[in-house]
Amino acid sequence: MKRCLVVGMTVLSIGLLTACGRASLPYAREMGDMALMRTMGIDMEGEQMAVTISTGRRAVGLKGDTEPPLIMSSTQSSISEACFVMQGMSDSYLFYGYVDQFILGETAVQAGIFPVLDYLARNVELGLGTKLWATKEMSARTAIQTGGEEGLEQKLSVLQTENEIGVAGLTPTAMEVFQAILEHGSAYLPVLELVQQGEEQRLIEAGYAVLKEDHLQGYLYGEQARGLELLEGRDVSDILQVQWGQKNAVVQITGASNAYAPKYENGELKELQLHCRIAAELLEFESPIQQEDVDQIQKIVEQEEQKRMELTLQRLQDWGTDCVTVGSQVEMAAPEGWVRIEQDWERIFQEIPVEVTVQVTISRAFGDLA
Amino acid sequence: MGIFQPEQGKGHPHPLKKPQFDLPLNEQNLSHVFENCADYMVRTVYLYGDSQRQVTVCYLLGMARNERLSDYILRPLAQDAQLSQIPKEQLFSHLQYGALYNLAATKRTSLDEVVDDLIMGCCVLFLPGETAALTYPVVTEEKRSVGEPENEPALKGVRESFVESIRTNTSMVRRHLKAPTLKIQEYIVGRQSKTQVDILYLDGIADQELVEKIKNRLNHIDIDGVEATGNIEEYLVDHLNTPFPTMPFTQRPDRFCQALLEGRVGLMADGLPLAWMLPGTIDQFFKTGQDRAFHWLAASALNLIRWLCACITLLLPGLYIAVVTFHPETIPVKLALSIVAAKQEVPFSTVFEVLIMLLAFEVLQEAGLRLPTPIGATVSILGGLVVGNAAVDAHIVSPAVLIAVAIAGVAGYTMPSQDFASALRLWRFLLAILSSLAGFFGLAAGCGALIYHLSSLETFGVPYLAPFTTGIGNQTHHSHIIRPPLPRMKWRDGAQHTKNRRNQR
Repeated sequence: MKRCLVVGMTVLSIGLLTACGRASLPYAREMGDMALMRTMGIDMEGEQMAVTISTGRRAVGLKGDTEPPLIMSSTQSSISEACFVMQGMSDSYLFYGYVDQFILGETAVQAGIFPVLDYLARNVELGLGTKLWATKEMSARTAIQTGGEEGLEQKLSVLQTENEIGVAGLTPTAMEVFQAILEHGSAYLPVLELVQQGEEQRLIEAGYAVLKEDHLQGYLYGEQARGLELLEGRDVSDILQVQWGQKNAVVQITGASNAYAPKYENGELKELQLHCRIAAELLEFESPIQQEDVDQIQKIVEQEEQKRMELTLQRLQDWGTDCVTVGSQVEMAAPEGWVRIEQDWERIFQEIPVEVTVQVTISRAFGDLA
Repeated sequence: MGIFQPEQGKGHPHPLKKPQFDLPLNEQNLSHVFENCADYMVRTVYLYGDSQRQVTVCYLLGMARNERLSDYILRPLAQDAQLSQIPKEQLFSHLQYGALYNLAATKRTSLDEVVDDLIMGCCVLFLPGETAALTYPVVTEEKRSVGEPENEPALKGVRESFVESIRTNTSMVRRHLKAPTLKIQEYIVGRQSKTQVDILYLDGIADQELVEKIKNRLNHIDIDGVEATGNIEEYLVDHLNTPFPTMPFTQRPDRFCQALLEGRVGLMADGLPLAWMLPGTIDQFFKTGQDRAFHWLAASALNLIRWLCACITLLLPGLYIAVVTFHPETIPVKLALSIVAAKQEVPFSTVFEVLIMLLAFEVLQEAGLRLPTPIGATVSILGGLVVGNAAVDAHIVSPAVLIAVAIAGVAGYTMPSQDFASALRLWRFLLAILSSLAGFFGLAAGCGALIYHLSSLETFGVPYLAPFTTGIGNQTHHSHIIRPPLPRMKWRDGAQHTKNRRNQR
């Protein structure tokens, strides 16, 4: 009995001496009082940071009723302060553990995203698994407010899902962006753009914002955006209209893989060969289709995709942003040569001539292939 | 050393008087011992009607069987002509060695022995002028008939269950195990109840050291009576500070015999319709009598489910508190949204809700058990469905809490041993409280404490976690969670230190 008492007192003393309490242990919060934030946006307004948050559509009670999303905004000198002020404005506990989509306004990307990434990494509720988006010619606040009664989170989730099933562009997480900037000095973010469709304004995915270090370097649209996806070699998805003679066909790009072959002379990288193998499917065509027609389609697609990749590579070289990790590919292809050029890679990347070859394989076709 | 361990080294505050009745052996002193006992009967019989030759027969009404007493004792005494003719000095030996047709006749020279025999159902024969007496076992066999085991129902297997009569129970074991190496040693426990407690083991397989240890502990039990299992269990176990049972028991003779074959030592007490299988390691409480009856894949899957259910019943309430109160980010978004919606109108905190619902669950269970079956079922339905549903509709508890507590409760019922399930229920409360203090940290600390506690337990020199620990000396070569095909289970349970390790070719 005495021994138990002594052990208990010792443990209690140690606990008190180590200040074991609120600082080191998690604290309790009731979920009933929580507003679960789903989307967060950051804009720069001069030296101030404008933080906008949204819950997405909220469930109320047990009957399956819902109410419009809670959208709040505050402009302060830091993200923490803005969140603190918004907490004061709300009658619920604002919980950021479910923020899946983080929107960086154009001003915020121009000013540099390191403070945001740092905040995401350090905050106990937010995480680096959050998907990052950039906006073009609009603020993050506007983007979030465009979500309307359904909430922007719903729209972005759909885009993210479409990306996962291969019908939309790349949506990197904060972790991937952070890692790319730290390792390669550049990264890219998917861009959201507001378009007018009739009387309705809609958010669409419109290319990529390329970052050099953590600042905006430029945007890649249309062909260049598709080229970036091909260079990245993962989650490629695109539909191409192919026309030859009097015939038409629709081809879906389903996958791409790249192989780099660096050519060294006297320890210097003289040339880089990039061979891209693309898998495609024929979606629509005029039946019956002949093998010569398929060969013709492959040739056209190869030319089209080669042009895209060259265009994008040229733009990235001009900017000096190796956000598609060409350097890593060169290193893996010939590690012994990389050791000599590693320190000077940024300059070499801008100057090195890249020969792009594309090989398209139409691996599956619907209907008759005569 | 524990708070509730038996006190040792302080002598006997309650010394046992031996001999208990320090009087000369005669009928008058025996009658004095059984003074004011309505069932004590004395009958004087003239041998073959000779009033000069008489004997006195004493017995306890209800303990002795009337037909045996009349046919095998009283009838020969009254009708055998030889008994009136042989010399008086030879009469005692004649009665002891064959004049009476009973199975046994024992010469007793002390009053204590005669009193004990009488209580066990013997009749006592006093001859005038003799300082000794003869006792004849004419014990009644009135007992509950052998039925199906209610607590361990058999879908595919033996349908008999132990009863309250220890001799019937040992006979059932004998019928299952016809080996002459099956040893049955009897001890009398309880100053007043004088209960027969038998140790059963297979000589040459069971660890003799373990047998001696159990005998030694039985010899040291000095209590008034054995009326409940606790009267044996709590005096034999190594640890009283744990809610976890260390003496697994069964009602099924087939399961009991299987345990003997594995090298365990069995224990039975008269008046208790069950038998213990010692030592009890943790895996024993997850096994059922049907494990060897089903296909090994099915039996293994069911065993795995029981282990999973043990984790669920133990951890789910604590896990729910930790997740909902401290770490909501771990919940999938859609579930989190529905929990938020359901919690909005509930006035109580999650911790309070869970603890109250756990308590309510225990109350309902206890009420259902104590009441007669038809009313108990009504209480369960009324409490479980009506009150539960009403509580959710009235926003007193949230449905998620109700579901979590109900799943934890139902998972607990999958335990074959309700003693083990009760221990899990106690720890469930403790883990829920720890979770409400520090979330996953508290839960993890509680789990660590539980593992530490279980690791510290021993049962008759065998670690309680023996199936999962090393250093017990003998390997079993097969898993204790998955039941391998029987032809591959060639070794007896390793933790038992059995002499003959191999159980098949």
